[in-house]
Amino acid sequence: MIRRSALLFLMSLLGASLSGLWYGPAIIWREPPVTGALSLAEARQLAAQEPLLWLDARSKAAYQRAHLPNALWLSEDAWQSGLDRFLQAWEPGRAVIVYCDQRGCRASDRVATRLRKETGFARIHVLQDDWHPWSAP
Amino acid sequence: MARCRVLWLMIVGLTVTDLVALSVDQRHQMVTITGEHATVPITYTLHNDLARPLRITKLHTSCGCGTVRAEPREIPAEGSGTVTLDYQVGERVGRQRYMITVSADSGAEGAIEEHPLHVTIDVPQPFRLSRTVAFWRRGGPAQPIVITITGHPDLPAQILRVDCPQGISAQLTLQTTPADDPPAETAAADARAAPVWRLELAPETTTTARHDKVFLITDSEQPLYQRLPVTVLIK
Repeated sequence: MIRRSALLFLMSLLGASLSGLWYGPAIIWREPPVTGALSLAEARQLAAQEPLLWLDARSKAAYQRAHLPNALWLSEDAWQSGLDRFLQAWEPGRAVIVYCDQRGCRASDRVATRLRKETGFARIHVLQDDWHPWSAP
Repeated sequence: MARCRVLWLMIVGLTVTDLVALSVDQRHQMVTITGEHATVPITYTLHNDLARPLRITKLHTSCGCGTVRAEPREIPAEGSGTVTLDYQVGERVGRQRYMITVSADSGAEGAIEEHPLHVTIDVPQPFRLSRTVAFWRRGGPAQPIVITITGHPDLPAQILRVDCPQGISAQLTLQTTPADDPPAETAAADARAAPVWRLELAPETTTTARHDKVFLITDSEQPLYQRLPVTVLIK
């Protein structure tokens, strides 16, 4: 019984591995890894060491409903005006953290990638977790 | 024993088939957006494969780039419905990939299912800048910063001039351009070659802070690209 189960398991593992190898690169919904990703705990650690500049990458309506204290709105809905606001507030060497709603949201990654490319600034991070518990200890 | 196993597999198979209640005509859509649009609707057709109504309980996008709606919210038995993403173009550029998650409740116990829908949106740009911000540290060296501007082979446009604020010098040079009379065998490839410009920016001095704009004036048909800003920042 155990041998049979092990054999079935190995056969399915072989099938899954072959499918993964064959279809892997073609899976369109595979999300690329987020560059400069920070967890909430890592962001807290960074905030304890230096002042941060927070950027909210959600829609304007969502930003107006609630956002992190002192966070600026920078979305691709209105990129140029948001970029100007960001450049006014940014200081050389200051770490920037971009956030959106939760782990599944890609807007923060897109904003961070575009910001890195357009400005050449290095210290631009993406908050991977939900931002809402930030104010909680 | 063998018959029992086949029967068991059939039961499991039928149960799984019953749980997958929704089918989608085109789960992955490719959209190219050219011209001026505030929003672009992207519609998916869904089919309820069950003999009972199916309710769309939740719609979620990964992008925050618009609103999603389902019509009707309850798809009749063996009927069809649509899910539409009203994509807000805003100032989004280039190639983007998003996911819409549709949650549906067939009414059977524990039968909420989630369906990922995908969209690849391409917003071609007549000009692509390697960067749009030229930054110098205050008091640091006033070294020139080079920005590469790449045209689009299908959206031909030229940079006519560069408007600079006082105290900033700009030098624009065209690096490559499509051949006027290419040999027949390379004509197709050459005709699609995009022009590339090199813009060199430098401040006279970095002693005072400034936040200014250099504008690239172009003959693009798209108003958004007729006056391309490059931010000059000294901090």
